[in-house]
Amino acid sequence: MKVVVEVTDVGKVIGGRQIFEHISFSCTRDTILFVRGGNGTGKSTLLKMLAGIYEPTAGEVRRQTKYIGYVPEHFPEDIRFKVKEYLLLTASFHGTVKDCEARIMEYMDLFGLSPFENKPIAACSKGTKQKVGIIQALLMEPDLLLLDEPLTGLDQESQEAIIRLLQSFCGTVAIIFTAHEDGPITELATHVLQIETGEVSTVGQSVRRKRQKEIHIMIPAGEKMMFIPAGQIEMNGRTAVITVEQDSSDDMLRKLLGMGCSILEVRNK
Amino acid sequence: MMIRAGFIHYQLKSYLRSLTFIPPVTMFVAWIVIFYTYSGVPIMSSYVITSVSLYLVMTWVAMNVFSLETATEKNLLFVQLKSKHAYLLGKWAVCFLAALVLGAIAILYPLIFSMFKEPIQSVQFIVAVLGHLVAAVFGMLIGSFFSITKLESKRFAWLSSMLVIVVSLAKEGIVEMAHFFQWILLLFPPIHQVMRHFTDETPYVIANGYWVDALWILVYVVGGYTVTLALFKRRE
Repeated sequence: MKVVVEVTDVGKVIGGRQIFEHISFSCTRDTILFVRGGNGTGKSTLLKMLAGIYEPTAGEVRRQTKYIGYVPEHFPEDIRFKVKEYLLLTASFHGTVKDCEARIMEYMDLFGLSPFENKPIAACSKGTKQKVGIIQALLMEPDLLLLDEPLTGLDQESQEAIIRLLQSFCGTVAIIFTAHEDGPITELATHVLQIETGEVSTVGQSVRRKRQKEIHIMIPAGEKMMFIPAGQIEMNGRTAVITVEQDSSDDMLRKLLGMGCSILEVRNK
Repeated sequence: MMIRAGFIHYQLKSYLRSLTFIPPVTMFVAWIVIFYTYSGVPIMSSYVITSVSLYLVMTWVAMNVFSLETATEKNLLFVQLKSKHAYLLGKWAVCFLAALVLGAIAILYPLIFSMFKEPIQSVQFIVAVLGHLVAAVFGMLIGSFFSITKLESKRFAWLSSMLVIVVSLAKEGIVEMAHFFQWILLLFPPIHQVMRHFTDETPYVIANGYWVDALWILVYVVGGYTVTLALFKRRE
């Protein structure tokens, strides 16, 4: 498969400080690379380098892309446009607006942005701005999609929408994203780059963690919940948190309700 | 195509909504109106004043246009445009459009309201248009150069650009007093080579040396553009 981006032994120094060094990897269209690392390890800098915003201090970045979609960690605060107007304008940089309008509406519906289409971006919430940032990148119809902490500030529904969307791109768009901790999005990764060490590991399909749900419950008096393995339940007095794979969450809920438990909350883990 | 119509549209809207255009444009238009309070004024010596004013105002406008975005918005635009060069050209295109509007006001206002003591010759009109255009381009170059370098602070950028403007205007006088400066002063915009062709002789004829000056101005503009572009790519 065609290599979309190839990074060879790159390093970056900013203000005399070595941010990272000896990073090498390549991505094809079926790669979803998760860049893992703590705060200040240069995850955002690496993404900016891949996007062509920064040049490497050492090494080489070779891109074979027509368009790159880039989603910054924090969408600019004071853009002077309304939501739809901004998306139409940025989409017009490479094509006619007419071609893009239908797709803009489609993405706005998907992310629940339609009620905000005429709202100034500067007056939007952080989550709404983040969604605008993601849509502008998708409108580029990129070969390479770079997402810097893409789920930051998003509600549960939007997080799930993004994860589904990224899953649908799998095999057609190379995706590189950062996150400073494991979460639902990191389960999509086919490869993981540990930025501090430069080590790239492949995540096999069998190893890729299945999506899990957390079920918060209130336990009836005297119930010991012995049928749930100890590793899956965390007791806290009369309440408990049960972790189950998404596929079996409905069965578990039925069982719990049958036992007289109250379901307090169900959330993706 | 490096100049993207969509980006110019984006920049124009952003510039107008920033309202930063109000001080320079208001000052320039007010100055033109005040300058032509009395009618019967000479043509070319009036136009030389308005072209120098345009030089100053376009520096101001360019500095505003180059400071419209935060770093993140600029980064996004680099990726969306696929090129830093396209970003820079788009900015210059917006400045150029502003220069066309302001230049048109400076040139047409006295003609529409018959402020000159005699009818304008077509050669005077052409020299005036070119002179205003060149002065505006010099202003754009200075404004963009110092916005891009961002030496230490924004205030320092303003001071540096004002210094360059003042030195470029006083260049001939400085060289007369201290001849050894003449080579260093070649780095400053050759605004004097524009100004010296705004003479009030009647009938107006293109002076000797006009084409040599025009060639030097062209070389300076191309050189200034190349240096600014290289500096921009390096800084960003």
